[in-house]
Amino acid sequence: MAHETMTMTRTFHAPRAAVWAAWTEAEQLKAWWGPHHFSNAEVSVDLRVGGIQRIDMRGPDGASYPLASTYREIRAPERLVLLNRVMEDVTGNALFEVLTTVTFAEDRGRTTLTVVEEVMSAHEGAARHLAGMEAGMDQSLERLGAHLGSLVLAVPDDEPILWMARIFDAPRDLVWQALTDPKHAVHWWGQRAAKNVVFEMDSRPGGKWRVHQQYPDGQVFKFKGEVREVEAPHRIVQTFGMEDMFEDKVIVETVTLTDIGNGRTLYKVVSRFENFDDRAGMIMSGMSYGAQEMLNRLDEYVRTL
Amino acid sequence: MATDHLSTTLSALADPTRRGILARLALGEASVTELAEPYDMSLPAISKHLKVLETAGLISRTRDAQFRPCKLEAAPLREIADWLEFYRRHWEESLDRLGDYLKQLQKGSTDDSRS
Repeated sequence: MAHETMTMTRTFHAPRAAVWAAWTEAEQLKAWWGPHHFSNAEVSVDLRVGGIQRIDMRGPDGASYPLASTYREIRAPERLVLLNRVMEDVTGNALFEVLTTVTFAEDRGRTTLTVVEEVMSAHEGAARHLAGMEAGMDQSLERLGAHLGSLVLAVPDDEPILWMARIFDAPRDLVWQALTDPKHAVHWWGQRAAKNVVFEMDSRPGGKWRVHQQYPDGQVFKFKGEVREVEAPHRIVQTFGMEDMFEDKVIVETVTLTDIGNGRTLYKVVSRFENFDDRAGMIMSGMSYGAQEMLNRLDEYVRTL
Repeated sequence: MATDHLSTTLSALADPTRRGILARLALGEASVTELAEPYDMSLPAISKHLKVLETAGLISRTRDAQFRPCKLEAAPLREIADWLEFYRRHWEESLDRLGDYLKQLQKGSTDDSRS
């Protein structure tokens, strides 16, 4: 079990300073840290190397999951290293220890967070908790997105997909209606600057949808797709394409809605670039393929054209 | 833009060596020998990669100069960046609007709140 490593990369639509603050201020950590349905009874932060961050996390059943972390490195606002002692008891013995390195990278108002968790030591009985570590961090980061008022975007290296998650402060049935009923969807679908001049949506299996968006300069973008699978009120699979552009490039979107309690709903869309094959994803996450600085400069250069 | 063009660009970009070459060319023109330097590859192998990039319109080579230096032609890259950026922005903004709209619905301040 020891020295197992997990890496998670997520992009938030928020400036780096805001994401850094969310990770380093007690009141903010209290608001988002932990899986869905969990809460934090108490959080304290002593932000200096050697200082301790304590989080007393509580499960839905009230069970306590104390976490004591020592700051190993603090480089505001780009890098944070903590040694976490999970389930520490009164004698200072932890069930397991995880070294967490968080890096914060900013690009045009968005912040990409990379969390690397390395298991340093684990006692008997830690396996169950370790198995849930990845899901726990995943859900924490979804909550961080909601806390920042941002969606969470991920571009995995190993699959031709990208996914976006967002928490809505509305019950699942209502979100489902807003998604699938054209009478509702016409009010939020697409860019604000454009007007939906054509809006048709048949959210039944085999149904088609078609939207024409007109921009103030008169330019019209035509979107279309078909509905493949529907499981009301929590899952819909549909295609997304554009007319006159990338004609045979179709993205398959799988939208899932999860009730996460307190009248809130987690929306997640996985966009699979089937015909683009894995390359589209590779370009988008090109930064993670090494040669980072060179690719940044390439990116800057492309922008000047 | 022609779809075939897009596919060619995408497959040219699929290879890490070719992306590395493009990144190097973003810093300025370079000869085949210079481009081959970081790689444990023969010159013909590098030339093959350059050919793919040239066919995709991602680079151009000066015809008359003695060493035929390679130059980045990044316009096709911008097209792709624009499409993915467009798709991403489309959903980012739509979901922001959906969040606002759901708030309105719950306040009952929208004509569409019945149903």
